Amino acid sequence: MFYVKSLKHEIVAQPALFGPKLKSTIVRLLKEEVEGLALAEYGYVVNVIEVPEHEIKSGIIEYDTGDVVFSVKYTALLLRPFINEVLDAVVHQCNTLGFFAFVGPLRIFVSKHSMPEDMLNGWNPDKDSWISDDKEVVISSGCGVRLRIKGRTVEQGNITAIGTIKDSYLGLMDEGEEG
Amino acid sequence: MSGKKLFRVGKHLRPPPSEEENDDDDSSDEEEEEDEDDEHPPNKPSTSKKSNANLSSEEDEEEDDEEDDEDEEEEDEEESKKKRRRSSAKGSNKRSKISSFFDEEAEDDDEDEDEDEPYGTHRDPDDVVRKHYTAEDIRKEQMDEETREMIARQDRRRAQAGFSFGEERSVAEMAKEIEDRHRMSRTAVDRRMLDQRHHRPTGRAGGASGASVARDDDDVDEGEGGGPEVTNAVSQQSLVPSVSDPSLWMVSCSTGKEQELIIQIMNKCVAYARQGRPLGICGAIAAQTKGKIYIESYSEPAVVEAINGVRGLLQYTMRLVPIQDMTTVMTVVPKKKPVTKNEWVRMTRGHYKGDLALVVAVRESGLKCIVQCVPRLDLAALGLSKEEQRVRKKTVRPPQKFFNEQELATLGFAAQRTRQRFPGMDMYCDFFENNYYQDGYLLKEVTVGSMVKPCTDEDPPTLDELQKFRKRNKGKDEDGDDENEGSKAAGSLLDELSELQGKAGLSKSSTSASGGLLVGDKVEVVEGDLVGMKGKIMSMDGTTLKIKPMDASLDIGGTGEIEFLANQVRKHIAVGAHVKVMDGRYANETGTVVAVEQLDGGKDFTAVVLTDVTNKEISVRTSQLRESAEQYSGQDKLAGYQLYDLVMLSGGGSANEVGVIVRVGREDFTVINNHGVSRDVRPEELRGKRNTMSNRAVALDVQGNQIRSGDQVNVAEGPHKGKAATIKRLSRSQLFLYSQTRTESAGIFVVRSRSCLLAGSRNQSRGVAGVDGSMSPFATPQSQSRGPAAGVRGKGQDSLIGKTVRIQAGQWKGYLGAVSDATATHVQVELHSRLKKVMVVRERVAVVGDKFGATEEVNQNDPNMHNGPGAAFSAAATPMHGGATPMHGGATPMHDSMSDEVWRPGALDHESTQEELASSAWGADTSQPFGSPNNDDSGWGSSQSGGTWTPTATKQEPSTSVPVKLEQPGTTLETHAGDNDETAVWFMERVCVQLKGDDRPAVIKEINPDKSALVELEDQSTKTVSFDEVSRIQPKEKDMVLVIGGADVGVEGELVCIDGSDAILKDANEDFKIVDFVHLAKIASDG
Repeated sequence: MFYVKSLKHEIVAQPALFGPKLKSTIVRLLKEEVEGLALAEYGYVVNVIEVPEHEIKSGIIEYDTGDVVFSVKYTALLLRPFINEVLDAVVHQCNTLGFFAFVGPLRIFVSKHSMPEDMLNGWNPDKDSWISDDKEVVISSGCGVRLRIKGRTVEQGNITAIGTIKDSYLGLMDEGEEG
Repeated sequence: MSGKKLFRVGKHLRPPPSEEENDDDDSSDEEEEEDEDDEHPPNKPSTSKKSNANLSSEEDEEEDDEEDDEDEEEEDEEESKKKRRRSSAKGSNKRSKISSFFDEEAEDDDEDEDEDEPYGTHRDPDDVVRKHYTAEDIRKEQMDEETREMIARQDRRRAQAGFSFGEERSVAEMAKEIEDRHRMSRTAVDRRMLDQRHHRPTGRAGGASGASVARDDDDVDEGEGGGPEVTNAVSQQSLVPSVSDPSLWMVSCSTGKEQELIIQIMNKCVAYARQGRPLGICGAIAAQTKGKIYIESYSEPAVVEAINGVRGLLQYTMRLVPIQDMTTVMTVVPKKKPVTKNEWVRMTRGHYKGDLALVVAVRESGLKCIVQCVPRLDLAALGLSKEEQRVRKKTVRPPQKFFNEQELATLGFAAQRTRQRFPGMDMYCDFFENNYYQDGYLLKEVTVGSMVKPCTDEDPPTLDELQKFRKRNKGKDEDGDDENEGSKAAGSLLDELSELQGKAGLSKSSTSASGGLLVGDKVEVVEGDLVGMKGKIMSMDGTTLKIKPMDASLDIGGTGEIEFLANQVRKHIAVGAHVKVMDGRYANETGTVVAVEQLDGGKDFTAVVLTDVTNKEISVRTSQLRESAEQYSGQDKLAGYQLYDLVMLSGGGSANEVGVIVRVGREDFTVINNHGVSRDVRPEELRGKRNTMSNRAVALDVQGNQIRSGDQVNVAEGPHKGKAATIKRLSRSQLFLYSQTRTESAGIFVVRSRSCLLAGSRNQSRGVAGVDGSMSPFATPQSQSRGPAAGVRGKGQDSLIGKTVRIQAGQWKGYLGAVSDATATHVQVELHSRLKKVMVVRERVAVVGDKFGATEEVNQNDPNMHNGPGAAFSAAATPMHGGATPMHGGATPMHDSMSDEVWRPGALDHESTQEELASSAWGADTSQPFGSPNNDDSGWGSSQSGGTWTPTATKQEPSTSVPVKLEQPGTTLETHAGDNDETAVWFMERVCVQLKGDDRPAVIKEINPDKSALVELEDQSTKTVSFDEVSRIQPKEKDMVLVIGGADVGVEGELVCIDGSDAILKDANEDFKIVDFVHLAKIASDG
């Protein structure tokens, strides 16, 4: 789920960066540091929407390094996967165990055990895709699938999820470009 | 007063009241009481174990209090009876009072709730019709305010539950109600919904007890399991009976008649209701107890009424079920499984007592079965007399041995053996001594229960037994596919067992004792009245666990913890959880659960776990799993090496083979080497880790961006094209990339650095900087300024072998080749461009790359390093270092626009440098004559610029404003280490140069050993200059050029045109070659 939230981050700026454009530098550093990062409890920072200038307070000098620590408040667009959330994802890669799908930066693995029964043995190594017994459903990379998130693993700066398409209204949505 | 009415109705139904009847009542009550007195003590421990937590002590107190209170409302005879009872029972057993109290209390319920009056008012003495008031009653009433409060509270609860059982109700309504209730029991019961059903008589009790009315045993299974798990668990919890629910009476009857009697009671109930005089009972149940039926009601007389006249019920056995035992009544005990085919059984008596056997077929609906076991044939006894045989039979137990025809024949009993069909089975067996043998096994029909009994969990087939059972086919393999099924079964079970026990030597019992449960584990109740409830283990005591339900909204009274036996719960692992395997074959693996499946019929569940590191799917019993956030990478370490270490390999034929460990086994590693080939190596074959080297190393991607380990790259070409991955390790220009989505080689694959493109914003910012010209990212490697001294580095004895070198002097000067052998003084170089090996003095070769060819530092020995004024040079060195540090720390200065440079350390230095070098515009532009200032070569310092640098005027324009030295941050220090040459590659005969002093063009005629050269100037005069005094001339179109680097090194030709960074030249054979422009040196057109 996407949502907007106010967050705080500490930027360590080296003396080399001090100058008239310090604030914009800090904003740039902030974006470089947080965008794309997954914060454990908030999810992926998709975009730093706004960094109010007045929220960049004067920094504190670290005595041992000479660097200055700025505490910056900013609003960011976040993507956080919730358990049992239903999402549309793009299949990125299929392998013998299932497939990986992406929702923006979020990687979701769908195991073959989480596929409908008629796809459990549907791995087709020639086409690198999962095919149902009746050949109706073909999931290969580039496809759009609707899946439900069953589990979530939070690692340092990264969130991955486990999904399932074994339920009503879940599964292949879009055949992708190749069909 | 409808409540009273109900009672009176009840009374009316009875035969006209008489003394006799009353006596009857009394006697039965007394009997009941006695019974209870007897029964309670033994009952108590068992019930407390059952842990129906809602019967808290508080409620006990309330009951006591109410007991006092209810006296007021007792009818006279009851009152006196009570007194009598009290005097008799006083001091003996408080419990009995409580239970006997229940029925009376239940009567109160009826009254209270049916009155439809606000609370408290009905307690008004004026309002209630009372025949007798004892002084005691009045005293109590006045005195016991507290008690009354409690009662009021109780009543409120009762009213909430709602109760009415009006006579107006039609049969249709009742039927509908029963149907509703029945349906409710199938779906999840929501407590709130029940509370709203105010007028429903047994709404509160609907799920637990009422629902059972229409059910018999066969129905029970169906009724369970409906509805979502969570609500089920909650509703189950809420349905545990309490004091406000109807009580349960047990009545004995003759065994087998239970269900019939229930139907009778039901019919009676319906008939009475039709007459407008409903029985006051809520339900009647034939549970699984044999010879007992249960009747549920708020009032005892109603029960008496209901069973009165029903033939087959022993009315005097009627007894109240203590509230704690009510759930037990309803507990469904799974039927004893009859033996099934392919089940392991144990013989219990006779010749084969204790032996393991396998059920081959089941006969007579499970009463008998045919088993297969290893015979204990005593061939030695056959020849003896009957008398001796009998003695022998008692003393000697023949060993288990397979039936063998040949053996029989040798002993001379072959004649007694015949082929016969096993009676009732479609298989032919050897018949010998009244026994049937098939495939060496004995087939025998036995009675289940007396002769054999199933192997229980406590006494499973042992490994030894199974091996014995299976042995036969091991020795005699010709059967192949025909392997006896029993043997196969033994084999598969053996496999399973050995898997279970694992190589770690864990015995099976250790896993099964507590089911692998630990405090803090999440469990799900699989047995008992709280099936489906999930909770967390708070404490363990032997096999009893205290579990805190996960749903905090559950009110179970008291401590909030419920006791269970270990075998009543199973570990609950949710799909998606991150787990660690605690036991068994996959012990210590970690991963994410992708599926949980139930084993056939078993209590245990298997979870499919996707492992973290190896990305494999493994099936593990949930009891072996534990939720854990930890990540385990298989085996940790072996001989000091661990997963993903960059290691030097030996024994692979090549001296400098490196690889990354992708698997750590028990005694070996799997290593993927720099060719991308993985192989197994032993620890002895590894020659140390190179992780630090990898962490320090920098390589260049296809655009010339610097990439380090940890960077994200996209593969731009080759077999892995299109993949995105992280650099795990790098060794020279080989990247060991790691991709989480790869399952092979632990996610590692090998790609050349030049085939990759740095991903993400860093890439862009670098690129932009380069285009702006504010700072070229492709700056000259600073390390070259270290000069000759540094050049000696890296020429260790053997380290040279396999390296690509350039020959620096002599006949083969300028040629590239691979060192195939090395002595202390000489190296043997295998030339790239000629099929030849040449011996060269060691000092005359310079390492330019690894065994895969030259790395990109062709122009590294750029002249500007040597011709720059010394002072400016060292000044410039400072900013470089200043810049280099942040580069390692986060690359920030490199991204900076010009505006920030003021703030960079050493910025002033470059200003001075700028002035000094102001004249050294990048005059390499074709529009300029080659006689431009000799510093012009500095533009060529960008050894790595091949990819993007284009020698056009527009591109160069900004660079003119940029001080040369500024370019020096952002170099590739490490890759160039040890590659310094004393002279530039181009410094050789016939090359056109210009003198740095006056920019006059000249041609090198001869190279002296002392690094000076004889040059011929335009005016045919000759001059001896040192390397430092000349610089190279940029070739232009139509010039004769010599290729001094790249694949075509040594080729001479005419430069046809310049296309971006590439130059097209025509060689002597009129072939066109495309060469990097930077690899060209202009030579005099005709030697």
